[in-house]
Order: sequence, then C-alpha cells, then structure tokens
Amino acid sequence: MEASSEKAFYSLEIIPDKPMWRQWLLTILASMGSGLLLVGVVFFFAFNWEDMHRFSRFALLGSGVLITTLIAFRLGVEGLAGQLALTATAVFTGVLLATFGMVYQTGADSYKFFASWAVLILPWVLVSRFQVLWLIAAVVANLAVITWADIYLHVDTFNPNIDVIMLITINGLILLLREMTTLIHPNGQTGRWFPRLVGFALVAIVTTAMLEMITEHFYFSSTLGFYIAVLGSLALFYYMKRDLFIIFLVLGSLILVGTVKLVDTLHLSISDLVIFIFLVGTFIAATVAAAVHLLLKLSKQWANEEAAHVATQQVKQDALAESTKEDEGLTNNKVYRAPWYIDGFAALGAWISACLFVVFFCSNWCS
Amino acid sequence: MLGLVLVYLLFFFVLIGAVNEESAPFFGIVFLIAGLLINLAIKKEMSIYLSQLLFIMSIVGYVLLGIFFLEQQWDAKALLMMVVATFYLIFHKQYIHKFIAFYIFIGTSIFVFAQLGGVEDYLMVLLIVMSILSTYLWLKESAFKTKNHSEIRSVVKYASTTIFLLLAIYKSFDETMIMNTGRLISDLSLWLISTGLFLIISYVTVQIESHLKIAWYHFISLGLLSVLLLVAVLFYQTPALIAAIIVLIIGIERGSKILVPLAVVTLIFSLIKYYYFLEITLMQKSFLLMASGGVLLLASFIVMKQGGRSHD
Repeated sequence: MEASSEKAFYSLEIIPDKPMWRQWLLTILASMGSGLLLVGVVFFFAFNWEDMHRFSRFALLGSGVLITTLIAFRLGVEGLAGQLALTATAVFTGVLLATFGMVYQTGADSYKFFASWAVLILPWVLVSRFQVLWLIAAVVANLAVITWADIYLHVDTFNPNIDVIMLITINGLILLLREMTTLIHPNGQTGRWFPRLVGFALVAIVTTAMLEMITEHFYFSSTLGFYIAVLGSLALFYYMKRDLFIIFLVLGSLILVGTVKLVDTLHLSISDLVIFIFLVGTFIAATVAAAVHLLLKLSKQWANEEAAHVATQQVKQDALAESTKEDEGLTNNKVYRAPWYIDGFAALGAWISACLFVVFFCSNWCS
Repeated sequence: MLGLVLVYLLFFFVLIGAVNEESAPFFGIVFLIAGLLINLAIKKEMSIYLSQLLFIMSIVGYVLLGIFFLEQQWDAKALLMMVVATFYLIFHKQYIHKFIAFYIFIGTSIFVFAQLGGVEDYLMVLLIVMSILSTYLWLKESAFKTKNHSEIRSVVKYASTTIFLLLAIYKSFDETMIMNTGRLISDLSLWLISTGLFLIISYVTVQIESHLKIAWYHFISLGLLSVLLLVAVLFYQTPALIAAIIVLIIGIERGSKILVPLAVVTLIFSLIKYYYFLEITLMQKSFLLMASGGVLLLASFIVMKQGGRSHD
C-alpha cells in the first residue's frame, strides 16, 4: 500500500527521482562552477598583472566574449547552460571595459563605465530569460545612475530631485521590459523573485523620498506626484497580474508614510504623551488590520479562481488523494493558509502597537 | 474591521487601568494567566488580529511581572520566559507565534548559559542538536504525510533549521577569533562540529540513496561520500558551508521552496567568507577560484554525459 502511494508521489514529482536528482546536481554544479570561474576571472584582471601584455589581456577577454556568446547560441538560451554562458558574456564585457579603462587610463567617469556596460549587455539580457542576468544588468544600471548623481549632483542620493526621478525611471523601465519579455515568452520565464525585487526597490525609493520630505519639512509636488504615480501604477498593474506580494509592498509603504506623517503632525500639535501614543497606536492597528483584511480577501479569491483554472491538475491530485486516503488518513479538505508575508505583516503591526503600549507604560511609570 | 478596532481600544483602556505602582504586579499576573487561558480557548477560525493581541497581552504581562516582581532575579525571569515560550509553542494557534516562542526559548537558554559561563561550548552543542533535530524532523516526515502534520512539528523543523544555519554561520567566524587570540580550543570545536556535520550529511545521503534504490557500497555512493569527506576536511573552518549543503539536500528531497533558497544564500555567503579570509594574494585567489570553478564545471559535464548515456 505504502509503495503504491510512494510511486504516485514520484510520478507527481513530489519526491525527486533519479533524473530529477541528476538535474538538480547539474544545476548546482554548473551554476557554482560558472560563478566561481567568473569571480576568478574578475579577480585575475583586477590584480592588473604587469607581466601580461595589454594585447594579451584584450585578446583573452575578447575571446571570452566571443566564445561564450557562440556557446550560448549553440546551446540555446532556453536551457541553463546557454543562460550561464550568456551571463559569462555579460560579465566578460564588463571586465573588458574595466581593463580598457585601466590600461589606457582613459580618465572616464565611473558612470560612463557602468552605463556602457548596461547598454552593451542589454540585448543579451532581453533574449536570455534568465533572472540572474537581469539582476546583474539592473545592478549595473542602478550603479550608473548613482555614480552619475554622485559626481554631478553633489547631494544625497535620495534627494527628491533628478536622481530619484532617474532611479524610478531606470527601475520602472527594467520592470516594464522584464514583464514585456514575460508576455512574449510566457513559458520561458520561471520564478517571480526578480520582478518582486525591482518592485521592492521602486517602492523603497519613492517611500524614502516621501519620508525625507515629511521629516525635513519641505514640500515637492513632484515627489508626491511620483509617489502616487509609482504606487498607483504598481498596485493597478500587479492587481491585474495577480501578484499579491507587490500589493502588500504598496500597502506597507502607505501605512509607513501615513504613520510618519501622523507622528510628525501630532508631535507638533499634541503635547500629551498618552493621547499621542493612543492615536498613533490606533492608527497602526486600524490600518494594518484593514490591509491584512484586504490582502487575505484577495489571496483567497485568487487562490479559488486559480484552483478553478487548473482543473486538470486538480483532477490528477484528487485521484491521488483518493488512492492514498485509505493508507495515510488524508482528507480532501484543503486548509487555506495565508502567505507568510501577510502573517508577518499582521504580527509586525501588532508588535509595534504593543511596543507603543510598553513605551507609554514605562514613561508613565517613570514620571 | 470595526470589531477589531474596538477590541484594540478595549485592550488599550484596560492597560491604562493597570498603570499604577500598587496594581502593576497584580495586573501582570492577571494578563499573563488570562492571555494564556484565552489562547487555549480560542478557535482556529478566530481573527488573526485578536489572536495577536492575546499573545501580546501575555508578553506585556510577562514584562510587568519581570519589571516589578522579579527585579534582578535574572534566572527566575529566564525560567518564566522559557515556561511562557513553551506554552505558546504547544498551544498557540498561529504558527508565526510558535516561531517567536521557539526563538524566545532558544534565545533564553543561550542567555542562561551566558550568565553561567561556557556559552561557546553550549553553542557548539546547540548547533549539533539543532542539526540532528531538523534533519530527523525533515527526513522522518514522508512526503505523503505532509497534509497531516501537526503545527508544532512543522514549526520546530523550520525553526531548528534556521537556528542550525545561523549557528553554523556564527561558528564560521571562529577562525578569525583563533587568528586573533591564538586559542586552540576553538579550532578543536570547529573540528568537532565538522565531524558531527559530516556524519549527519552522510546519514542524509545514505537515506536518500536508499530511497533511490542505490546501495551504500555502490561506487556512486562511495564516491559521493568521499567528496563530502573532502569538503568537510577542506572547509572545516567554515561549518556554514557543510550546513548549507545538508539543508540544500533536504530541501531538494522535500521539495521545499523555503529551504532551497535559504541554503543557497548560506552557501554563497559561506563561500565568500572562505575565500575572503584566505591568506593568499589576489592573484593566487583568482587561480584558486578559476580552478574550483573548472572542477565543478567538469563535474557537471560528467553528470550531463552520464544522464545522456543512461537515457540512451
């Protein structure tokens, strides 16, 4: 009886069988091998070995770019090997540009190096369908903006001026490109961590700018405009795309900004600590409760609709449940579980409220 | 929604009533006991938010007791905290609070050993205990029983795995401590940890191989164990690396979307730590990195060829 259940789970790929283990081993060995090799190459050229002629360095790196590109297109960018080869091409391109700058002491600003690197690898990124390569390109593009702002603006990176607008634009563009490639190749894209990471970056940039505006007591309509535009676009787009995590980020940002604004306003107008803490605590509790309520509602609704869409898989699983129910005591009743970040969000809100109570309590006690 | 806010407000006003010198210890006990009892009584369907508030109610009760009743009696405070944490671990309906309770329990035990002295030895033992506990809980739970598992088992296996990884990362920095202080005892503890982790990884490997109908004396099995032994010896100063491999293997076996990323992040971190602390020139490091990468790529090529041959 148990053997039949185990066989069924092997067929559903719940327990990995030999080919799956081989695939995992291959993925880990190839990823780690490529990673270590590329870091080794970067270290080698960073060492700036005097005994090696500059032409030899260029030849080595140029060959690296050429060979890895050929390998990528020979193997195809759908598989891991091709994607890793294309990542190597992107890294070699950066090292080649850096070596060029080192050998000829071009005196070019660092932002030009990062910008050139980002532009040159863009075509490979677009065709790669590989999230790690997207991440490399996003980091390089952001570094180009930050180093440019560092040289020309001579102000803090998150000043709500041109640098914030540029960071929003560049990350928004990256996110848009990524989602467009997902639409073009829906089957070639796996995992959602990269769009979520960029979404987090976007929310973090506009939230930081807003918080700075509130705490420093200056007003920029552009900052407020960008805050509303970015959060609104993200919420709308990912509501249609059904990515709850980004909606959670948007709500979290709204609550954070609202709380800081409330604290800032009350701090100036209310001198009584009890009422101050009461209002702030109530605001946090009410807004977090409302946000959790909304997120749970959406989560359940989408989970139900998705379950209806994957009817064929469901039938397969139901058949399995029937076959194993007798042996293992399983039931067909599925218990809904909220995503971890909703639980964490609710807990965090409650903990902050409780901390406010403790602070209030201690301050009252001491006085 | 309105109900939740009302509960919150009610709680707030009850707390205000407790704020005076004479009644604080009394309210502390009342909150603690009431929070614990109500948590016992609540149903799963009850609002998450109300459940959070009840949990906090007990913690506030504990704080009140700790501040006003036990004063400087740290051992009694720690004991009380461990009792509260154990209660929540067993009875609380929400797994996120079970997590917090487990971490509070372990954190308090570390605090107790820090007070008594010998915390480093305790951490070493704790690391091994957590690694055995998490491995046991993950491997003994067969995939077809996952729908039936108890909450506490699930929480303990996740919490013990994260504590195991965190302790392994902490212990990976002992090498720097040895270089700075010249203490040989830490080196010995690293060897002990490495040996313990090698035994665990060997057990995990043999278990999985037996699922795949591969005998332990098969050349693949022996070759794999030899490689793991080599890794354990070469990286004995970085237990996080071996810990990450253990968690990675278990994560793949169990199909866990949490364990695999956790292990991969730890693996990358431990490799960075290992190469960063190597006392060789940048040039030598680059050759070592390229050689390591080459060996792994060669290994992946062999695995790929083997796969192709077996399909043929």
